[in-house]
Amino acid sequence: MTEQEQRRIFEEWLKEHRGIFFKIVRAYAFNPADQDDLFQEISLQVWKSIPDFRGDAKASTWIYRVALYAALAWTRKEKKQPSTRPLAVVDKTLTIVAQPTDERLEWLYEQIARLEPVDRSLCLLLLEGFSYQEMAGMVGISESNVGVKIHRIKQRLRSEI
Amino acid sequence: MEFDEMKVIWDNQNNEKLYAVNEDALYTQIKNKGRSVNRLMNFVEMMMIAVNFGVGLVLFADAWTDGGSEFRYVMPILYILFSFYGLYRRITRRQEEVRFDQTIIGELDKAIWQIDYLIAQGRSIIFWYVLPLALAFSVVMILDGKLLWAIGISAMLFFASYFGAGWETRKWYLPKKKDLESLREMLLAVPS
Repeated sequence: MTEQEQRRIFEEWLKEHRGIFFKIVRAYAFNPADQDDLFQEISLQVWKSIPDFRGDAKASTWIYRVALYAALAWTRKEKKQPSTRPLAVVDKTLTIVAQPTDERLEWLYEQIARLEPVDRSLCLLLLEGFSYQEMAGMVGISESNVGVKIHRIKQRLRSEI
Repeated sequence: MEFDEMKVIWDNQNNEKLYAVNEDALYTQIKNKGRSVNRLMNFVEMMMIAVNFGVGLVLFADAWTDGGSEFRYVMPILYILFSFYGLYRRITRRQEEVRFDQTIIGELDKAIWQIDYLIAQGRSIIFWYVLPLALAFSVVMILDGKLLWAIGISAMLFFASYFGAGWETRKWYLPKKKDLESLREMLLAVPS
């Protein structure tokens, strides 16, 4: 695959599925510098995954899987080496241009942020409407394990209300 | 609030208005950050293959034109053999990499396997490359009557490589591997 072709697919995915990128960024990073860094990390992993994409799954499913893996790995790296990035040194790739207006959605993101990173990824997939079978296929764990984890996540969310 | 209500809130969000993407800066960052483990492995492998082959050819040509002892062909042949060994390792590595599932666990397994590969590669460079070269170098120096130089330089070369590789493994690869393994365990863990 040529770099030009890779870039064309990436641009297409970024245009059509940027919502996925942004949702994961909001769920895993909580300040502008970290959101920018995580957005770059997700973009890099999605970019690198393009030559492996055979079209067996939907592009959105593929992007979700790759982006969640990137976010999980980023979260662990970030935990060990907290961000000290000076924002002015490099051009920002992601800029917040408006403030969130839906309070209930803000609340929901806060609840998601309180979950463990692994549970957070399953919670996002659940909210996106993926079935247990699809989640198991994306994460690589058994359907029953997904079921148990989701049950716990729902219990936890309910208890926060 | 029930989960169904949460889903309705989730489905109605429109994050696209919250953020603006600077695509030019993004491509620049992708290129800068692209120096991943994969690139490192490719670079090390290709460098080893090319350098060994190139040095082997030059030494072989030198031995051929100068004549002299047959022993002079040992080092160039060793270099050329190492370059073929490097090529073989690269081919098997690329074959191995495609066997991982396209899942998050599969990605983790692949990342762990890549770290093991880099550690093993570091070790094999020492035992199959630095050590034989140090020995070959020693023999040449001894034949020239420089016994102390032979022992000193060879020992220094070998121990510097050995401890350098060990430090790199402890400092970078093992913590990263442990981290990935712990993430893997968390994903696989079944809540009690």
